[in-house]
Amino acid sequence: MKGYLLLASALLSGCATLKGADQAFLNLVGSSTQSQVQGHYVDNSEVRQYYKLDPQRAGQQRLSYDGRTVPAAEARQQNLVDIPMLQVYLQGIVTRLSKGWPGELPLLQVKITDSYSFGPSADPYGNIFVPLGMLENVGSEDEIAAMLGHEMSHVLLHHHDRAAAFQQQKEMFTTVASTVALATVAANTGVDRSSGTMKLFSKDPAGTQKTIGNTVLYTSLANSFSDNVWSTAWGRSQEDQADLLGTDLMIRAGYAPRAATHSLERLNDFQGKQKPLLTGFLTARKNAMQDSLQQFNLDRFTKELDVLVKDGLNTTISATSQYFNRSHMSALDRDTELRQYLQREYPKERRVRVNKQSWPKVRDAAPVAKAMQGYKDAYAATAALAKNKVPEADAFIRRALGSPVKDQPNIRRTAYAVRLAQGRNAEALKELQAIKDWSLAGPSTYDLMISYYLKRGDGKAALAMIDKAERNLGSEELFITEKLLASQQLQNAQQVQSVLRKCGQYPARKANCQKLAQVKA
Amino acid sequence: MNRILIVLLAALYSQGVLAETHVIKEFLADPVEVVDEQGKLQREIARKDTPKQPVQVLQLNTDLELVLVELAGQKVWLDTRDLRIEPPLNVMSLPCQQMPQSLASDTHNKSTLGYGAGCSQ
Repeated sequence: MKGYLLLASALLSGCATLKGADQAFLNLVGSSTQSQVQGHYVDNSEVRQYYKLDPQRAGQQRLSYDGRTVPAAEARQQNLVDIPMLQVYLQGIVTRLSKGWPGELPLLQVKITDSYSFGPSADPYGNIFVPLGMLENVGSEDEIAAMLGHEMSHVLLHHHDRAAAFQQQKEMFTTVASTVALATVAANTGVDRSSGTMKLFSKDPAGTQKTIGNTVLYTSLANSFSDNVWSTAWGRSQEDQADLLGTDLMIRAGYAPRAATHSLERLNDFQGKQKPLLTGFLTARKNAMQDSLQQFNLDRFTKELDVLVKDGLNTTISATSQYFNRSHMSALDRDTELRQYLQREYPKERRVRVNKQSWPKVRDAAPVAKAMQGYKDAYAATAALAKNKVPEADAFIRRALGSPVKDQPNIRRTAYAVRLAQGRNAEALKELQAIKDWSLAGPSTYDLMISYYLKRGDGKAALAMIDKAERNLGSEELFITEKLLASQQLQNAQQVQSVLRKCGQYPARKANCQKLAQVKA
Repeated sequence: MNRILIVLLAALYSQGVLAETHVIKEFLADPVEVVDEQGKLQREIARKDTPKQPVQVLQLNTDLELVLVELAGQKVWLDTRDLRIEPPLNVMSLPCQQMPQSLASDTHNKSTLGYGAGCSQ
């Protein structure tokens, strides 16, 4: 144990990314980040350290993004949506929110995606992805600002850096510390049933902190501990910080902070109920025990008690893991915490009314409405295909193909799927070839065209499409095996060797490239 | 004539009908503000003095986000920002559980940090 401690201590020394580690953990078992904040979060010292931009860091990120070195797993997955009036409007909201940031600003760019999920997201390069699903459901510009402010805050607070660094750290450590940490958590965790639902809480946060704090800071971080508890603690802390800073930015930009409640309620509705595992297990056990008592079956009652003790322990551990695995607090808990923060720190501003005119004006403007309807029709076509209703899907896609967005990747890709379902393969291909702006396409759309060219033996066309994908998605890794295949088809030995060398740099792709090279040989 | 009457009656009572299906599940603010029908502050009630059981919403003003309820025998307007209302006033047209399977799973890339935990479908 001592040896591990020394080793871990050496590895962890000078590790700035673990600063605040124990506070992050406390966020899981103690009082929330929001309730601990004094004053406006944007003015806190932990935020002020991010006011100054590091030009080297910004430069490095730019190089990754523009230089095709984005890892395949981090490349954008969705197709983008091009509705200029909407794009300008959303970017305008980001600009207005940015004015509330006291420091230097990184590049922040809004991109609309063809997803019908609700929540936006941000990547490390300052891209803020806004799904159509969000725009279909929000009620006001203030609500949009609440969510964009949250995403901007992830970028402003460098949350992606910590996530990436943590990922690296995770790989270095062993499972020794997990036994200590998990045992402490398990021993000090109680179940609160007073509100009618199961809630886990720490019975001794200070004592837990002392044990866990030391373990975490100076010993090895175990994968199982980090996956079940640690990374979740970080994740939750970061989400709370983004909620706080996003709210501050909203208020400084003159938006109504009550709109954050609207978006969190919608998010809660979207995500659905997530019942704890333990509730179901305990209910079943309780019913079985009551049943056996009523029948005076002591044997059965004793057996049920046995099951409760033995299986209950396993279920508790599993339920604990599941609880901790959720990277966000429940949306309604976040909402409650934010409202209390607003009442404490912004008693006047929380009264401001939401502007219900500005967003409908944009949403209902003809160019935007027609474009969004086109995407909705394509979405309905996909939903119909999922239910095997091909004629219905055909009707919807015909409407989408009559809209201003007919030649965008999502629409043509859906049309491709419908034609395939109809057995009209030649027409299916024509749909893909009708895509005008490939910079909007996501990896799966590129994949269809690249595979088609490779199957046909058209290496030149495949390479041209792969080059487009690399440029627009910023990732050389994504289609490197396909690049090798295409180079082989062109019988360009020099290019094959060059691609093979590059492929060797990508552990997830290396083995496949080598297999392909051997087959050809 | 009958049709017009039906439409008028529906318009008159729709807010009331809507309000009948809502309750205040929890008082979140401390203190809770009592306002007039325009949302102007009149007085405050300490959270400990608010009812513990759900309170029926008598009327809902969606424009000003106010609800009319009866507290201690008096009809008062409250601001929804101080309250947890059930069912919630802001919902989705399509919760993720009803999305086509192929679209429900998060197709977000692994480098992004999102607004919520994702679909639990």
